[in-house]
Formats: sequence, structure tokens, C-alpha cells
Amino acid sequence: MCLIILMEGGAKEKCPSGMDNSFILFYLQALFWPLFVLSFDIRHHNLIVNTLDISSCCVDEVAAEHVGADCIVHYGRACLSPSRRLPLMYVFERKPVVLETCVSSFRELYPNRQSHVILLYDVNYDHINDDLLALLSSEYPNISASTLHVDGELCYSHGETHGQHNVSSSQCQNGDQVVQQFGRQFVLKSGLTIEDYSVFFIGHEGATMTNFMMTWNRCSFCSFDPVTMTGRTESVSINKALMKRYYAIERAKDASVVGILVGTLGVANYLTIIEQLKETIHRAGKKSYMFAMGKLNVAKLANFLEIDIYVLIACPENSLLDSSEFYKPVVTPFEMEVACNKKREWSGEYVTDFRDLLPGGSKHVALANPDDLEDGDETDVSLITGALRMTRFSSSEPVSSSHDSSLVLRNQALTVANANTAATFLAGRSWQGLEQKLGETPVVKALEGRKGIAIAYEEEPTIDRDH
Amino acid sequence: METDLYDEFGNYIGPELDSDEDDDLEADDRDVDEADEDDEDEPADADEDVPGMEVVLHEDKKYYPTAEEVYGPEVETLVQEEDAQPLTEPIIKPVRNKQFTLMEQELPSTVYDMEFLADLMDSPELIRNVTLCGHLHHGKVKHSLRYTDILFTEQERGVGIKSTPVTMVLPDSRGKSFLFNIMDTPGHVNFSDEVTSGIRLSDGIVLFIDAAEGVMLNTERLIKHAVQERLAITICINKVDRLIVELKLPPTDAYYKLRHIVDEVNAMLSTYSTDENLVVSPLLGNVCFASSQYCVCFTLGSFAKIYSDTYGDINYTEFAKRLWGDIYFNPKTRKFTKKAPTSNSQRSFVEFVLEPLYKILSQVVGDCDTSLPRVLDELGIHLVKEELKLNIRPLLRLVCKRFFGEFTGFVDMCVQHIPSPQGGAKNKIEHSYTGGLDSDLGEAMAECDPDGPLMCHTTKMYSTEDGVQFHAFGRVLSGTIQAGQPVKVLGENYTLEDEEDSQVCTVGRLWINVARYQIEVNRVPAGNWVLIEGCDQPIVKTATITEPRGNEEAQIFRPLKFNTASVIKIAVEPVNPSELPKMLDGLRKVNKSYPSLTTKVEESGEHVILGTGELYLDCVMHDLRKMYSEIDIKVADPVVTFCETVVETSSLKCFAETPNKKNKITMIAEPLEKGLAEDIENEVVQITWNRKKLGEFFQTKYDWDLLAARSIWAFGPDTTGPNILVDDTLPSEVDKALLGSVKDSIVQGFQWGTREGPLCDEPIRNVKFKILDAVIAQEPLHRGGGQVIPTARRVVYSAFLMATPRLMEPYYFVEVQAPADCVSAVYTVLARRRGHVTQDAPIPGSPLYTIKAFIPAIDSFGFETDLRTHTQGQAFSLSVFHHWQIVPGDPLDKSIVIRPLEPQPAPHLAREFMIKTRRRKGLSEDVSISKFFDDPMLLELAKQDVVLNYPM
Repeated sequence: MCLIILMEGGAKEKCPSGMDNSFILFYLQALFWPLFVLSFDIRHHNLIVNTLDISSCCVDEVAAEHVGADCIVHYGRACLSPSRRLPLMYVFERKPVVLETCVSSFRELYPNRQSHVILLYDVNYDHINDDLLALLSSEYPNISASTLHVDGELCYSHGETHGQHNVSSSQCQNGDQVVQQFGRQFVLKSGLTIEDYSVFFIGHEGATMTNFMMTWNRCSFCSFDPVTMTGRTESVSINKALMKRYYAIERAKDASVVGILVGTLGVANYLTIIEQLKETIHRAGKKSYMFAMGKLNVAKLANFLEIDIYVLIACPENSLLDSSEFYKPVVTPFEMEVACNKKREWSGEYVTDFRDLLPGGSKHVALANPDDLEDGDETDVSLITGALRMTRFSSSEPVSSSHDSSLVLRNQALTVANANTAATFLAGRSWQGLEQKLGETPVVKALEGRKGIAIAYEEEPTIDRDH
Repeated sequence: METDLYDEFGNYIGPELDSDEDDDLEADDRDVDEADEDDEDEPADADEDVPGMEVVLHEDKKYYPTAEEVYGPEVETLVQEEDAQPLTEPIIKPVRNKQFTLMEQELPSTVYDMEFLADLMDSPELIRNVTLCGHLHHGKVKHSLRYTDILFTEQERGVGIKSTPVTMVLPDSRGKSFLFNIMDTPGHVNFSDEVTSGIRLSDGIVLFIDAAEGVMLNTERLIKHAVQERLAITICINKVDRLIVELKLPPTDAYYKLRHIVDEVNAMLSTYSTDENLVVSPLLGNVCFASSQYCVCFTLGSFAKIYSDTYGDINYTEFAKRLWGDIYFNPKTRKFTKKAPTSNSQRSFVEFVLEPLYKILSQVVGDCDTSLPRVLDELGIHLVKEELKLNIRPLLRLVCKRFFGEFTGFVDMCVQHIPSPQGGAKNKIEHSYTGGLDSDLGEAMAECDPDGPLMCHTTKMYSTEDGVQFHAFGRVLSGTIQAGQPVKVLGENYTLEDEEDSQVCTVGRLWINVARYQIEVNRVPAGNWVLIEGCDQPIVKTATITEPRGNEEAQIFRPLKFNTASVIKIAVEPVNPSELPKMLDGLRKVNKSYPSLTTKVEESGEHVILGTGELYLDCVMHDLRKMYSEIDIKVADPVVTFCETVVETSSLKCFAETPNKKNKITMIAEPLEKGLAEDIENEVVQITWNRKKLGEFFQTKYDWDLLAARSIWAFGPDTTGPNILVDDTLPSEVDKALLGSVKDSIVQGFQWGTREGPLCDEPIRNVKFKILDAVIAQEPLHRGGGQVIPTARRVVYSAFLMATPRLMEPYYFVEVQAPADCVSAVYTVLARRRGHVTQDAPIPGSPLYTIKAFIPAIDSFGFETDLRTHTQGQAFSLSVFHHWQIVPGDPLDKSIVIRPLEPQPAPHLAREFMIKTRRRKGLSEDVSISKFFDDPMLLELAKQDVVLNYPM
């Protein structure tokens, strides 16, 4: 048997320098001890260290399947999104924390000893969990610590036993509520909701914390950065951030052509959300195109001028992209749903994890039943341009392309023109394709043209794949 | 909950509960079960007629009759759970009738027949479409006896807010009836957008000028606007009585004062118009004099007619021609001469017009008991005893009304000097129609043909009494609009190429609007104004209504062009976040209701409302809170919009490479010539002109060299944006064909950049970007939009930042009227708000001073109140947007420390404004400049030793 292990998540940079393959092997052997009964000779193992990844916090299962890996070890930063295909193990770096400063800043930030506080950690600081809780729980009886809890059958994190995964009911016997989200698990006292708690986060500010803050935006947030050793209250800017997302929704409402960016191939259910988004976008009378383009950058997205807005499907931490640098904004699936699904309203609640939007998810809102909507044009004024925008709720199935000439029932004679967004765009372009110029150009014999694909024609020896 | 288990106080009176059941949950279940059983048992109870003896379980016993038994089956009974509704909310809400406008319940009786009015609509030559406008409190409304102030808020505030159309039949001095469509517009400068929408529908204006105050701020603006819109201008000098009663001017001085007003108006007309024939003069008949309060209104002609009626045998038109100017009457020769026959003889106007007026007034005011009846008898005015006992004012009004008769002078003036809809149509559509005039449709409109294809231009939306729906108000330019007819509504973005902004609607009812009541009609032919129900939904501000089919070549009428800018900004949010949809609906409605209002979501996610001034926004907020959405709304402190600009030329050529390193664009930025930005914004010059015409404009007016003038690529951020992109590359250095292939992308990058400047995401203004050099990849693949657009934007930003960037803020022009002793206080108040006075002069013939000043809009909040406090309410001010001006100080100077809650010294202001705007928008505290520069560019900077006082 051959075991291919895929190490990823920036393993190369983060491994101690001078560490060679054998060292890694040795390291792995130690790690895997509780998980696998190693009944085969470790020297025969192939080891692939993979650092090619879309986003270093997610597990790239596709890449693993390409090399036929049997198991993945994820090292470093992680968003703990579940993946479904391969056994996965997380290895977290243990970063040092000065516990005393952490505790004292906690005391400063929460002078009231009865405060209900949830402790959240960056994955790298998970190891201080028990020590910190021991120091604080005597003073603060209402504190609730979170534990890492990797969702999914085949996922493990270092030092965790498998038995814990079976806590599926969210209600404990004593009425306390267990919340599991973003790979964290914590307990809320009975009768209290998450809004009654404040959150104390240990780690740098970054995607992880922003994700927590956006999701639990009604909670007050404090953070402690172990590197700078400072604690502070965070909640001021989150309203601003939410408002900015609201602007993104308005942009999404104005858009008529939507690009769906597939930013993950690993997170479970990504195909389902793509299908759901396509349906939602179509029902709202917009067009959608799908793009899989690996790592996003400004130049790549600006290549598609026809697209008015992009939806990024990625793990919760990567979904919140600051798109101000991009030529066209990039929104999250939740924002697209708010823009397109009439039944979903913007209430300040925010969902970063697209799995919550799926049927069965906690925040799922079904599309309005096509029969309930009067099939007509509804007019609305765009809040960005001030121009009129028509939201056409097309309940009908897309007209199948094979019957191009077949007649379509006109919408109660109220339709004036069939707006074709692609044609409109083309009309506004200065270059509209090759011109025939009949009679203007001399007749020449056909020549052999270029061969190959656009990125690397055959006659071009040196190619630059840098974009 | 089961009703009969509880008494009216909510006490439980049902069957006993098993006391040993502790678990609440189970008890609840049991209750539900019981309830179910009860329901099932009821019909069974009814069957059993014999009462009494049989064994009935106690839970089946019925102690009280059910509500249905008590009240009968037709009464709906509701049982409310405790605390299901807050106490403050009544269980049965009274029906609320929202009403914000004063409307007559029935059609009032008029001196003319409604049928007659409707008949007149078919003869366009007998119709006049007129806008009444003037400065604040110059008596436009008084003229119509405040009948047109229909909103309650208007009456409370004593100021017009909305323009109100009135249609009525008025006779001229020969007794011929004309149909007058009059748009009464607000005089406050904040609401000049309303005037604009009225002017668009009219063929002429009547400009009201207060005889005592003379030409004021808004008077001048209105003249300018009317000239731009090419309307006939007539003047009504109102409140003539103030000269006599209030200022107590001798008749000669009163004449000088009136003549001064006419001269001032003519001076302005000659400034703004190139047409030399455009003059106003009482001799021409386009000036009338009035005192609305006392029902006085006359032109020279109508006054002369009084003479001819009294003495007979006078050619009153010839007589009228001699009643103005330096013409004297020689009583000996009974001839009019140019020279004064004696040293103390008066000008004819004084002798024949003013003196009689003075006499009537002084007789009535001074000596009403003894000599008045005799005098009145002489004038042929007979008053009964009761009328003579009236107070002075009503008496004076009565006397004047009898003496001067109806407002025939006013009617004469309008009829003679304002073209009929037929006569004015050509001029109107030339100015407002975007399509060509030589088509059949154009001809039908120019002839005002009621049988032509329907074309109707709507410019205003009026909400219904309760503020739920909107009706569109417009003018039919050709064809006839019928009630119940399907029409196509073309929006402001409709073009023949892009038909998306159009919708087919069905017209509901049609009305003729007469301020407080409306006359419903079936059809409205060309030339008239009409209020249309049923097609408000697709209309945002203005629209073109046409036939649903058969009129495919119809194009739209131009959107309104306002003479003011909305620069004051407030951010609103609902107190209760869940009421956001309600607020959005309200915002949509106020947006329809106010022509120049802008509501939008900013990048920061705030809902902002942009308006022209404080009063304007106050009215908007009233409507939003009370009329359209009825929710509590939080309002942030008002702010103004800023602009970003440069004051020097970039200190070095800025370049940037595309991410694939295959293209390189080099640009510099420099300020535009003075006045050019305004010319672009006012569409004096348009990018759509052909290259030659565009080049000529820039060569002649702004001295550009031929090369630059011919290579203007774009204006930004849009076609009327005050920035220019110029291709300044030389064909010897740059492959022009290659550069041309990425022109679109570079223009897009430029427009993106100028839309949101690097300082605080506010638009860039007054900057010229020159492309100096460009290296473009040969292969189309390597110069796609994705590579070029973001790069072009970065070059725009770096060139901008190297050219000494500054912020710009809007400035208001303020006109203050105050008595002489308050002038110094006005100076003090202005100085505290960074304002400066440009002119300070007494108003001729009055004790007041006019002070003209400039004040930054951001410091103008509360200025009016402040001014009144400091002058004990004697000063009165009006302010209107005037221009953009650079904020003092360097916004990027990091050495400036902004201390909270302290007024900043002037050089720190730019920095303060920038940081605060960035904070409000949720941007990082300071501009990260290095982001916009490539590494080689940064090296270049270091090499050239460019002194930047801001670290990278």
C-alpha cells in the first residue's frame, strides 16, 4: 500500500528552516501515531508537499486527488471548513502567548465579573485554551470557552479524539445550547442567545476575526493580540463594515450580468450553492456566467468587462473580499441572495458561510413561488445611479435554444423591448468584431495562421504564464 | 385560549386543574386537549334538549355562554392574549385619514362655466401657459390670494414649497376670454428646482419684483434661467403700495425707484441674452404694476383705458405710449413734450398714474368718514353704508377693485407678450426635444396638432392627498391624451438604440389642476397641461409619454437642467433597523416629489439625501417622516460633498506598468483652465461634438494648441464631468495605432479614477490628465482591459498625487438684507464662519442694506438662525450654491494633529475634512500613497529626490 500525504497550507514557509524530507517524515510519523496504526514501512511512503493552493486556509482536495493522495495534512492557517472526500488532519502551529498579559487585559476589558463572555481563538492559540480557562473561570463564572471542532466525518485535528464528533444535537440536557460554527464549538447558558454574550478573541485581526465579527455582529467584540500584547474593544468599525456590504448589495441589485467565481473546490456543498445561485440569479432576470480562476487578482477580473458584478464562492474567511480595488465589485453568495431573492430582506443579520443558505441550513430562505408573483415588470429606482431599474422576475424556464424560431407568449402586451444585456453591451463597444470590409481589401490566398491555444501559440517559444 | 375558561378579568374560572401536575409542559398539552374536546362536544350538547338530570363531567359543563351565543353569529369576536400587543397600541385602531393637502371637497362655483373652460382647451391660440416666479416674498402667491399654497406645511411656514398649477379662464380688457394655465412657483432659492420644472412647461414667465426691495438674488437667477430656457419674459412690479404707505416716497421718487427696477432688469437681460430685442418696458406693455394686497393691477394701457372710459374720446393706446419716460404734459398746449414745460411740472407717469393712485390711497387711509363718499362718487364708485364701515384695508381693497376692475391689465400683458402654445411650440421643442424637428412628428409638435401622434412631456409628480400615489403632471405637445388609453412612458435614459427605459402603462383618469380642486376630463388636446393618473410607476423625475405603437421614432424630451446644485448631504437611517424597507419606500417617494433631490446609497452603505439647502432638506425630512413612511428616522449631521483637485503640474512624469509588465503608461496631471470645468458641466462644450468643432472650441476659447485640442479623449467621470483626458503623445515616439487600440480601456480607467479620487473617494474635479508616453504590447492578448484599466487608474492616481492635491468645497452666495445698524453684526457672523463680504450697499429708497457675501457651505449650517439671533431678527438672508473653492491647507500633511472638539485653524482644514470624510466612509485613516506607485516609480522618486512631505 502506498500512502500519499499531501501537506499544504503553506507548509514550506512555515516549517522550520533546514527541515528536510526525512525530518518531515519523522514529524508526520509522530503526528499520525494516534490516528493510524502504521502497519507498513514508513520509508516507502511518498510525500508531496503542496503549496499550490487557491487560499491557504482551505483544503485543496482536487489537487490531492490529482496526485492520488490518500490523506491530507493541513498545516498552518485554517478556516476549518469541512471537506468531504479525503481524510484530513489539521496541524496547527503553537504560537507563544504570555498568559499573564492576556488575563490582565481580559480583566481590564471586562470589569464586570458577571459578564457573559465567549472565548474564541485563532487556531494557532488553541493550546492555551485550558490554561486560560483555568485562570479565568474562577473569577468569571459565566465565561464560555470554545473548542475547536472540525466538522465532517473524516477530519481530525491534532490531539483531538474522534469521539467528540458525535455531538449532533444542539440542545444539552440542562437546556444549555451548543453552538457549532466555523469549526468552533461553545456552549450558551439556557435562556440566553448569542446576542447576550460578548466575545473575546485571541489572535491578530484578520480574516478570521472579521468573519466572526460579521456573523455575530450584534455581539460586542474585544480582542487580544498576543504579538503586540494589547487588548482592545473592536465593535466600532463593524457597523461600518456591514454598511459597506449593504452598498455591495445595492450594486448587486443594479447588475444585470453576474459572474459566479468558484473560489473553492474543497468546501463541501460548493456545487449545490452554485446551482442555487444560478437559479436565484436567473429568477431575478439576470444572467450568470461561471468562472474558475484560481487566485483572484484585479487584472484577471477586469478582463471580463461584460460582467457587472461577481459572486465569490469560497470558505467563510475568504468570502469577505475587500473589492474596492477591483474594477467590478465582488460580493458574497448571501449578498447576492439578498439582492435577488425577494423574500430575503436586509436586516443587519449577516451570513458568511454559504452552507447556511442551502436548503436545510439555518438561514435558508426559499425562493418566492413563481405562481405567487404576478409575472410582470416591477419598477424600482436604483439607489446608486438614481435611474430606473426593472426587476424582471422571470418565473418561466429558460427558453430552450433548440427552438429559436418558436413563438413565445408576450408578456401581456406590456413588454416593450426584449432587453438583451449582451447586445446592449456590444452596442456600446467601440470595437464590435471583425468588419467585413467587402471590396475594400484585396483578395489574398489563405495563409496558415497560428496554432495552439491563446496562452501559448506553437510558434511562440518563450511564453509568459504570469497572468 | 379558551374563552369560557376565563372571566373578563383574566382569572381562571374553568375546571380545576390537577394540582399534582407540576410540569408546565404537560399542563399546556392538557389544556390544548381540553380545548379540542370542547369543540367536538359542542354540537353534541345542542342535540340534547333535556337539561339537568344526566351526569355531566365538570369539564363539559358550560358556565358562561360563548361569545357567539351572546353577540350572534354575525359579530366577529376576538380574544386577545395578554401582552400580545403593547398597551400603547389600541386593539381596534381608529381609521386614520392621512391628509397633507388642503383640497376643496366639491368643485367651487366659478364665474365661468366648467364646460366653457373645457371648450377653450381645444383652441390653442386662446391658451397661455405661464409661470409666475419671483424672489421670496415678492408676492406671487398673494396675487392668487394664497389659494395655491395647498400643503399644510406651506401654510404654516408661509412660504411656497411646491409649484402649483392653476387653470382658469380670464378675460382681457376687451372682454375676450383666455384659458390661463398658471404655474405658481416657490420663491425661496432652495426650491428653484420647482421653478425649473414649471418653466419647462410654460411659454413665458411673469417675474414678480417687489417695488420696495427691487431686484434681488433670486430675481437675477430667474431672469438668467428664463433666458437660457428661451421663454418670453414679462415683469410685474408688485407691492407698489409699499412705496406709498411704508416708504412714504414722494411720487417723483417712486417713479425713479420703479424706473430703476426696470433698468436693472434690462441690464441683466442684456448680460445674459444675445438677443438685443429682449427688453422690458412699460411702454411695450410687458411690465405691469400691481399691489396684490389691495387688488391693484394695471399696465399703462389699462390705466389709459380708465381715462378713456371716464372722459371718452381718447385714443388710449396712443395715450399709453406717452405715459412712461421723460415725457411731460403741457396743460397749456395740451400736448406731450420731451422737455419739462415748467420747472415743477411732473413726468406724465407721475402726473397721470402715480398721483391719482396716491390720492385714492391717502383719501381712503386718511379721511374716510367725511370726504371719501364724495370723492368716490366722482370716480363713479358707489359704496353702500355697510361697506363704508369696513376697516381700512378691506375698504381700500374694495375701492381699488372697483376702480381698477379685474386684473385685465395682467391678462393683456400675458396675452400680448407670451406666445400661445401653438406659437411657442416650435421654440419649446427646439430647446427641449432630443429628436429632429423635420420629421412628421416634429412638425406635428411644432404645429401643436391635436390630431397628431401623442407626445406629452411630464416634469413633475404630485402626490395624492394622502401621499400614497403619484400623478404625473405635464404638457401635451401634440395629439390628444384620452383617459383610459394605453401609452408608452419613455424614461430619461431612453434612446432609440437602448429602449430599455420604457414601459407601457394605461392612463387612469385625467384632470385639470386648479390648486385646491381638480376638474376631471376625458381628453386633453395639445397645448394644455394635464395631470395624469396611472403611469407614475416608471417615472422618476421627468418622462415622455407617447403612443404605445405606431410612433416608434419618438425620442425623449431632455431631462431638466437645474440652475442650482444639490450639495448638502444628510445621511438617514431608520431608528428601528427592521423598518428599512419602509424608509426605502419613503425615499423613493420623496425622490419623485422633489425634482432636484437625489437619494442614494454611498459606498459606505449610508443612505444619503442630497438637497439644495437646509430648508429644502427640512421639508424633505418632514415628508419622509410624516407623509410617506411614518417611521422614526435618525439623521446624521449635515455634511457637504467635496471634490478633489490639483493646483500644480505633476512634479515628474508618472508611469505604471501593467501586471504582466508588457505595457507602460505615463501621465501627468495639471489643473484645468479657469471656467473650463463649468463649461463642461453646463454642456457649453460636449464630448460628442466632432473632433474639429471640439478642437476649435478649445483653441479659440482656452488657447490650447492644435495638437492638444484635437486629441481630447474623454471627459470624466462621465460625459459632463469636469476633468479631461488628453493624448499628448507624439506619433514619432508612440505607435498611435497601438495606443488607439487600448483607448477604451484607458478611458475607462481614467473615468473610474476620477469618479473616486485617492484622497477620500470624492470625485476629482478640474484636472487635466495628459498621456505623455505609452508602451503597448503588440499582441492583443497582452493588452486586454484587465491589464490596462486598473493600470490606467493607478497612473491617474499617481499623477494626481504628484501634482499637489487639494480638496475643494462648495461655496454659497449669500444675500443679506439688514437695517444699517445691523450691518456690523452681519460682518461678525460671516467672519466667524469663514465667510467674506463682496458687496455692501444700501437699497435705493429704503432704509435697508444689501450685503452680498460668500460662505463655505459646510459652515453655513445654522447661519440663518445665527444671523437672526445677532440682529434681533432684523436681518434676512438667502443663500444659494455658487462655486467650488479650494480648502486651505494640505490634506496630506501628516504633521498636522487634529485635536478633537476644537476648531481647527485654517491651514488644517483640508486635513481635517479629509480625515473625517475617510472615517465616515470607513476608509483607513490616511491615504496609503505607495499603493499607487510601482516599485520602479518609487525608485525614480528617490533618484529624483522629490521632496514629499508625506512619507511613503
